[in-house]
Amino acid sequence: MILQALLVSLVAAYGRLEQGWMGQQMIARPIWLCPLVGLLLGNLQQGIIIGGSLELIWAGVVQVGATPTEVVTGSTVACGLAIINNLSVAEAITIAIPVGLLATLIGQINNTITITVWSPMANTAAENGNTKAIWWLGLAGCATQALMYGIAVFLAVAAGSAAVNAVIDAIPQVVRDGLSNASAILPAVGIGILMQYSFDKKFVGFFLVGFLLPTYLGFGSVAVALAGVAVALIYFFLKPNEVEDD
Amino acid sequence: MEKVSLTKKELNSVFWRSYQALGCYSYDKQQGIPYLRAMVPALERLYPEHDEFIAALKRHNTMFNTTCAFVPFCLGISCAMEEEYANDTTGQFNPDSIGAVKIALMGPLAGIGDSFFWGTFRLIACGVGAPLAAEGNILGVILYLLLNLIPSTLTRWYGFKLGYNGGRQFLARIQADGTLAKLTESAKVLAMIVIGGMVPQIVKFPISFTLELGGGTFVLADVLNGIMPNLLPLLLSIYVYRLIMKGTKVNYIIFGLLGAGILLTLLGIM
Repeated sequence: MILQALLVSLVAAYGRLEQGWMGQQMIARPIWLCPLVGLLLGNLQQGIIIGGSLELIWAGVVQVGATPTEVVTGSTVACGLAIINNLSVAEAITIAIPVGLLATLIGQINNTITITVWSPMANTAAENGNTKAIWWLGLAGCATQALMYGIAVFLAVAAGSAAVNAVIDAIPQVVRDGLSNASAILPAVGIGILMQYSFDKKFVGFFLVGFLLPTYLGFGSVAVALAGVAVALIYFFLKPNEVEDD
Repeated sequence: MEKVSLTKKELNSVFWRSYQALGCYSYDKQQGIPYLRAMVPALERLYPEHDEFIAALKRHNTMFNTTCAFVPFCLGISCAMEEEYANDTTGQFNPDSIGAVKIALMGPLAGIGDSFFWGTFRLIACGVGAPLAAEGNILGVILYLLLNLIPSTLTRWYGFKLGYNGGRQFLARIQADGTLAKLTESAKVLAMIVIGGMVPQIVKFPISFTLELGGGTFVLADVLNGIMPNLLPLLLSIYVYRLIMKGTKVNYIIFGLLGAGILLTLLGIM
């Protein structure tokens, strides 16, 4: 149990370091972290399924500005507990959502540390030309963050299994079915958030084209993306340049 | 005065340090400390004089923030400008312009970058990979990784080269002739199609309601399917989008849908 919790916490810490030290290449996400958790806990298959399912719900949740939820912690804790306790995907999702919400607090604590400790130290280092200090200060904020998230995830997984089992057993069957049904409609939230980025009234037709391709022609996800590339190319080459005149 | 120029060694070093752009994110300087950290190898080479070196460090110890994949592009421009300044013997080059260009670039680049990397590439990767992964197919995970890593790696590498070799002029040109705006719009077209395609593939609305009517059975799911398959997922997605646009908190919507799922199951509709 302790070893399993430690392994899950390592994945959570890696997720943080991916964003801070490895360029935030959009892969500190459930779809990549959950398979890693699965691999370390000996159930890769379940990790892939939980990761894909969580990704669909949190597709729209992005790490810019004020984050509504903390996907690294939410997905690693939920996936870890689900695999250790043989929970269903729907039950894993039910754990992930509140954990993700709570974990945003840790980020706020870390931001406070950075602005009160690391940032003033960086000013001194720049004034003194202390390049060694600049080297490690540029990495410090993410290091403290990875450490704090790692510890939190370790505690949650180590302490959580027994509690989670008790809670899940106490949930009536109809509620469990309800949660399972809810996990089918929840991805609509991801879609809604994503539309914020790109939606423009004049593009509504493209949205419908995308919807109709799988609905009536049975296009899979790769086929839709390729059709999208074709349409985007048509748009790019046929639209005349609007030259800014100023 | 002998000309100092940056060699491959310093440039590579700056490039690799660009990966740690979020290594110390602070409210006051955002990516400022890691940006300073990345510039150190170039500044050490260009300013052997202690006072000039300190001035250069202070110049970059400022607030900076943009999409991570565009940080190398900005660093490339900063390196080119610092090199120009270090070799300026005429006194014509004002070092304040180095910071001014950074500030001028970060806003528009973040706008383009967020819509490309968060709004388009990640979205396509998710649209393609997540449904496959949810079915237990490891190909979904691999496709997700490749679709994110390939565009971001190319943008970093060529962005840095381009930034160092006259990126300012290039950006000004494609902005002025309208290519940049058109490129951003085309990305939105692609994103809209992918999002539309995700609706029927990832949103499910299982309806189990049936009613015995005299001779036959009324199956609600069949009736809805007869109007248009995936009608409810489409309507639900549009409804959620409208709620978000009205300012409803996403977490309330999530809990609302969890509640709705349980309620509709209790009523025997789902």
